[in-house]
Amino acid sequence: MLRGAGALLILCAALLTRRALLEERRAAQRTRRALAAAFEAMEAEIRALLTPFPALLRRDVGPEAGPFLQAVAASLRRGRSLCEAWSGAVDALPLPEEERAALAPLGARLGGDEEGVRAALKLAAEMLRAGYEEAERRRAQEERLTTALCLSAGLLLVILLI
Amino acid sequence: MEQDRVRRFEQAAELLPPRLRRLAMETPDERKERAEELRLRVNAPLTVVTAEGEHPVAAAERDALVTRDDVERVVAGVTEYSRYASAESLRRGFLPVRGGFRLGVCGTVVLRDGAVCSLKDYSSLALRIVRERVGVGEAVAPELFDGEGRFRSTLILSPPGGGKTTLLRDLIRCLSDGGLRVAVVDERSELAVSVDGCPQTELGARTDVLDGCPKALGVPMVLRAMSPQVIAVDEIACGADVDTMCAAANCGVALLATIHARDVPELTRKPLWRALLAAEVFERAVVIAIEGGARRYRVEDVPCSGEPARS
Repeated sequence: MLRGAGALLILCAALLTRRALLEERRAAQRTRRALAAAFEAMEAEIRALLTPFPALLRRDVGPEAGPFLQAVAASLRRGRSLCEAWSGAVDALPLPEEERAALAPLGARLGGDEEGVRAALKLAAEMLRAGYEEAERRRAQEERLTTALCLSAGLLLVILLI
Repeated sequence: MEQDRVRRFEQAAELLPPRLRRLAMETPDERKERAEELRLRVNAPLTVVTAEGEHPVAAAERDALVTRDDVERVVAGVTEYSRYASAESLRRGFLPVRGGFRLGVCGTVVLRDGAVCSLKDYSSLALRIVRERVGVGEAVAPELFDGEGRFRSTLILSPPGGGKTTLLRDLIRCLSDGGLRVAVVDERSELAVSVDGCPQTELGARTDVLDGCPKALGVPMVLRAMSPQVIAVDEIACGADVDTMCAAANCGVALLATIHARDVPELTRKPLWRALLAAEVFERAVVIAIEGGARRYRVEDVPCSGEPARS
């Protein structure tokens, strides 16, 4: 009875781990989509109205992209340069290391002329959209792999312990 | 008044990077009161400009040395890290600053098709402390109306640094608060010092400001869009400005403008101004004279030179 309960708990833990890993991936997907939309909106507003960054960073862009813009704005208020503020906020994004490394250097281009800033924002949005599509393409396979790994690890633990 | 001047200086110093700000704040109050500008030049000490000249902010010049990074930081802060949003102003060499200051910028000019396209590698900054003198025009304003209460088009005359813009700003306020619709074409953002569309100076309740627009383009725009009773501009300086003033006068609007000239006789000696006089656009002149360290305002009738008006 006790062994059965233990085995059940281990399997539940494996399933919870699977859920957490999948949720992490979904959160990254939501962040990619929301940030890409936010950067595209910023680019469009600069093109139409030349709105300065502080006003753009105050826009309501939802719970996924909002913390990023707020982090940049807070860093600027503390007197950091736009490049430093951008890099710092990118570091805190829930995205894989390689995506953050690709986004971080774009901050250096945000202090330039209109064309350069718009190109940087467009590129950032494109990178995020590409990341989103790639993750969507691999989603089914990764979900199966995650499920198989979590359950296998759980079962192995059950076999070893019981 | 002195405290207000010291406060304005300290507000301007807030725009500097922390190291230079601290040095500027240590400037004696009597110098802060007289300060007209803060000057930053790469590899030179930060200086305070007064009527007497330029004074380094620190006794040891090395302490107040301005670096390229300092200059970049000031420009980044003033443009709110959005150089693209201030590109047009930067192209003309200045930036209006929140709080009613003005930042003159010098560096390397980027030319495209023979025209100034942008500025880069900033080397010098002049942070001008725009000082409003609310009430300075109140004694003069009533003299600019005729017996029927009609405002007569007026030129404000003085040599550079004589206080033309300060008087113009306050006359705009007087006319506007007195009930006239005044349109200001603020080509160099020096009258209203508009930031995000908000004038940072007092220009009266009935004043409409077209900011950063050349007079030749702006005057017809405000005529069409705002149907003003008075159009105010700073510094008529070239033939295009004279033509614009003549065209506006033909539309029945009164004008208020400044011009670099010591007095009315000097106006009649220079060909460009003679053309303006010949067009009979302006009826009155306020001549600013500095006597015994104080500014005196003298209102005179503007003569007609008899020369044909420019087309």
